[in-house]
Amino acid sequence: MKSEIELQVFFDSILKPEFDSLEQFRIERIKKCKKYFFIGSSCCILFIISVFINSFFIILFLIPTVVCFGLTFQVLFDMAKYLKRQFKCSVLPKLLDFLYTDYEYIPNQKIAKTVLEKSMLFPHHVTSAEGEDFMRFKLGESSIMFCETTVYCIREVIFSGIFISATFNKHFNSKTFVLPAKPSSFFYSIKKQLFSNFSQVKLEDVEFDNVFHVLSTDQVEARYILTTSLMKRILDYKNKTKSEVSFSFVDDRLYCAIPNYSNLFEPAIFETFDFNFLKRNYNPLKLYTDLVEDLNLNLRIWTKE
Amino acid sequence: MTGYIILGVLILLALYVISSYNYIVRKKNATDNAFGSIDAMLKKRYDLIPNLVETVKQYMLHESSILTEVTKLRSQLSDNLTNDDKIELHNEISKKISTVLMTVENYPNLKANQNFIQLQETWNETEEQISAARRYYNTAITEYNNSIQTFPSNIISNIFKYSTKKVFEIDETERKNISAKDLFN
Repeated sequence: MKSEIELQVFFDSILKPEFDSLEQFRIERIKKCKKYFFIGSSCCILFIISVFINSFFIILFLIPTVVCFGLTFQVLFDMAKYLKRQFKCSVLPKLLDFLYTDYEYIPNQKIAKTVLEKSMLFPHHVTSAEGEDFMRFKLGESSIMFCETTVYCIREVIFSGIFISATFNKHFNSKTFVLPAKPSSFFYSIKKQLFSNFSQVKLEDVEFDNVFHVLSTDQVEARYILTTSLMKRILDYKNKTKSEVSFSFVDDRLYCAIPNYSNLFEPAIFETFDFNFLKRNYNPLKLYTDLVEDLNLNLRIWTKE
Repeated sequence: MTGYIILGVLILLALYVISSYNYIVRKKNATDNAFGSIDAMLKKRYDLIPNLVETVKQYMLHESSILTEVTKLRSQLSDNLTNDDKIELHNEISKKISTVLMTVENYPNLKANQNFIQLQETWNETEEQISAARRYYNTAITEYNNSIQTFPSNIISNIFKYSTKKVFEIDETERKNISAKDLFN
């Protein structure tokens, strides 16, 4: 992965002109919005005064009030749409080009419902799923894909965050789950509802055992997957994400769900387009793709290729 | 009235003895089951040895004495051996094979041999599976030992003559072994 200095150089040489033009556009539109809002507010005040004094000019002030506020929201809406499109279609691909050699990015694509169900990470039946910013990478021997995902059971949101699917470096036939041990976590309910036939795996790493709850269909294979070094790596990754991350190992794949309630890879209309903004988008990208390196998924000394 | 109380206490006592006894039996069976997993993995490794020795000995002329020893040790493995003896013998074989695999660097032709690469990967996989089975066995043994050593279930275990079992311990030389990844460097 590139260093911050390399990222700064890349920003200065490639992205800066584009960022400057987006920032210019944003400032102009904000100014326009302020103008409409000011006129609208003034008309609104005059309208209220007219109502109180029962003046003949009520209609005269009402119409510009409505028009100006309408224009304010229209400009804001158009600006947000334009910035989002420009950022996702022009800026983000350039950043990905700079960071990765083999990748695929589809802004409006979501992870298939079947994949979410296959991961078995969700305690309820998945009725529907929404998502965007689908990314797939080939990093060494491993392939990893992730997507911003919201999972629904009927109308209730049961998960919102990043869903990751990656190839695992060992063959296995069992199903193993590494879930947060905290009873407050929504994943905790999985135990009672979905995995009543699964047995709990007590591992030697006391810290890991305190943080995670491991369930598996095969006690030996669970330990084959969760080696002492992988347990340490999972703990470190959990600390890095600073959230209640869950893992499942199903059909030779590793699935990971990281709850996150902020909308990633989206420019905010009141946020300056500068290097800090780029860094705020670079950090989650790095965090999710680092999973391969952090869990050492490229280590191939077993029969799986 | 006193009779009923005594009868009630006796029934509770009998229920406790039965449940404790069953608990210990379940834990003991779990250790046997865990040992079965190790045995299955050891058998897998046992089956790999002839192929590995056959492939390696064509290239490793200087290591022929170790390979002969491996074949000899393998032939000593039989069902008549006790579990401890069996494991000791398997560990001895594993140590020798690991020594052989560590010298692969000196034999570039062998290192590039596809059959050998495949065997080496399977060997690594089996070693990890044995390690996993051993960890499971140790967990099962610890739970069993706890069940027969803690009060008051130790009274039941003493009556039925259940004794503690030894956990698997890796010997010092094995602890110092280079990781499987290093074998490729």
